[in-house]
Amino acid sequence: MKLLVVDDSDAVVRTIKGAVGTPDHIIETAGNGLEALRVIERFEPDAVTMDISMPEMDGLACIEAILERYPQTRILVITGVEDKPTAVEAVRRGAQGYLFKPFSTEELSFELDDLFA
Amino acid sequence: MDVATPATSRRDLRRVGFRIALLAGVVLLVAGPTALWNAGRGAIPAPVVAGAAIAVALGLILLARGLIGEAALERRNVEARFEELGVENADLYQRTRELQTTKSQLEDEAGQLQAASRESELMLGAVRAHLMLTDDSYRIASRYSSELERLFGEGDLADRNFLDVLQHMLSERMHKTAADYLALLFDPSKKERTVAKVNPLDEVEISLAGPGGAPQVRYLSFGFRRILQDGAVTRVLVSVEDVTERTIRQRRLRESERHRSKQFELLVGILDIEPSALDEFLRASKQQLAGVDEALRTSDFVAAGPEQTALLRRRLDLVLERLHAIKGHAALLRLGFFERKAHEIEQKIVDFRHRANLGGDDFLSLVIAIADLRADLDGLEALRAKLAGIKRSAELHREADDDLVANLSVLIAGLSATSGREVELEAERFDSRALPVEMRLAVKDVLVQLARNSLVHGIEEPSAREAAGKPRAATIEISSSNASPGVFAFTYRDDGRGLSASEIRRRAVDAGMLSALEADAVDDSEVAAFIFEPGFTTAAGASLEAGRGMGMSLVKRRIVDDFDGEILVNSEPGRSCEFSFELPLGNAPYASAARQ
Repeated sequence: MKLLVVDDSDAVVRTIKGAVGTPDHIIETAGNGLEALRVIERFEPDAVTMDISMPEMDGLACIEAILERYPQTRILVITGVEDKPTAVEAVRRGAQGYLFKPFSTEELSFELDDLFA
Repeated sequence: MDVATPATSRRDLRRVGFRIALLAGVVLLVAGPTALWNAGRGAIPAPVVAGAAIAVALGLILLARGLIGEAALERRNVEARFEELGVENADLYQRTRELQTTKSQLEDEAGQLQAASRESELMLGAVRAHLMLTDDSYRIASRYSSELERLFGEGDLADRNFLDVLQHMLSERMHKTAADYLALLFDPSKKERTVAKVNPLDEVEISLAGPGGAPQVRYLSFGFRRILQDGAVTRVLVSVEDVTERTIRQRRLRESERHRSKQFELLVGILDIEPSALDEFLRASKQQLAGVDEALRTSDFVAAGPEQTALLRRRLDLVLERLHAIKGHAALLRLGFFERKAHEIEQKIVDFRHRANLGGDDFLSLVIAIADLRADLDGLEALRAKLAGIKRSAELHREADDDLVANLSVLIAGLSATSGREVELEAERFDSRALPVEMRLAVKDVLVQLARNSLVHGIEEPSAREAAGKPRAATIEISSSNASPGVFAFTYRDDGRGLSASEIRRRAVDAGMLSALEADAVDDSEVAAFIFEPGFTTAAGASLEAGRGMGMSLVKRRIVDDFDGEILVNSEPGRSCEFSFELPLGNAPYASAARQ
């Protein structure tokens, strides 16, 4: 599975990489929404983990932009922002999963699998 | 019954027969005497008389027969009709019985329905969550838990639009979110688990008009469950629970846990600290906060327009310096709680400083944070009083080693561990015990600041030191002297990389203190003066340890402004950096307070 990790925190990126770093997964990363859109052009991931608050282009805008061009992409929002309207908006825009930080490795794997259930 | 049957047609034939007999009887009765009458005018032959008599007799018989037959016929008719009525009556009786059966069946069913309805009502009433159904146009179904009317502060909910009912309870933003969320619930392409996860109403604050019309805040928890029919979400089961008490209890619990852990941290923090050092920290911090209050005069900030921004910014610099002193002092005593707290407030101020305009609102949050810090200092003082049992006499304490040195040594050990530096403190020739308390505090502030700077800017990593031909462990040396009468002189020296004139020039230009041209014109021997300016920094990011660029301006204020002292900097690039101070004894502390 090809996974794109979009998050502006290196610590989170490392955690996700560590959690799903098996030979079955090819992982690329992007530090903000705009970068994610550039990476997606060449990488064409199956799934994307998406932070919400990031510089340049935030997660909500990025979800919309990705699904507009690649509607098959599965998106899992991973955020520390416990703002409920934002969460509803993310699902409304097409995110298929939602995970709050901090999360365990098991939770992350479950959510990633569930994207394709 | 109107249809002719063979029986009736036969009866009709007989009736015609009877009527003919009747008619014939009448004719004969009339004809017999008439014939006699006519014959009476002449001689009446005997046969005629006999014929007439026979005719009359026959006529009488026929008349009687006709009458009797007609009557019998009528009787039979009545009998037949009676018989028919009997049949009809039996029919009616049968139908009545059927109707009665149906009626009792219906009554049974109604009873069962009523029982079922009572049961469902019982169920709706018994569960803690109150239930209702809404369809895809958000219409509330007619059967719902009656308690919902009380929870929502509404009358009849049946057929009402759920979103309309929510409107008067929620903020505009939450109401819009609720509308979006209901749309998600009825959208079968959205996974129910994910939708459930982002439920925005699982603990929502609502405000209703209370008994006296005053708004009453309550917390409701809404749960939603899809009801599917042929793959389509036709209805959603909504459960509502009043969680006000639970929520308030949880909040209180969290609050008290926070309070307890703070108390615990403070307690553990101060157990190791000499009571006199703690007293000194409390006194010094309160003094600093008094200075903060002076700088943050409410009215100035609230009324400030853009033209005063520069003035306010200078005031903020003063506040920053004082907080920095509190932070340094806290770090010295390893009071991590206060170190973090002061750091957070510093962070807030640094954020303000980057803004184009400063206004009352910015200032207000700062005042609240500082009031909070003051309250925590009061808490520390109360705790200190509780621990009075371990208090030692100040005289006894003065006989002991200089605790300033002990504290500084602890601070340096801590900073070494986090920064990966190796440092030894050399303080044999330092003694501040004879100094007046206020001046001792100033010396302490200065030494703390210089030690922080050494560990963040001055001292190299052990490998870099080895590469430069220096011992792995750096040395910080402090010494003091009372050689000149009326003057307390002390020196701080580290054998790190020293001050870099070119780096200081660059930073001064970056901070807008100098133009590039002016920087080139400043002599190397004068360039060190810039490190004492507020806002000057040589570290890239601000950490808890250093990097605000406020440290050296604090040093200057404490020595020069507060005590009219002097500072001398002597740096050998790559080898060492030395600060020498002279404090005239007998000067009033904070001499400069009036000047500000």
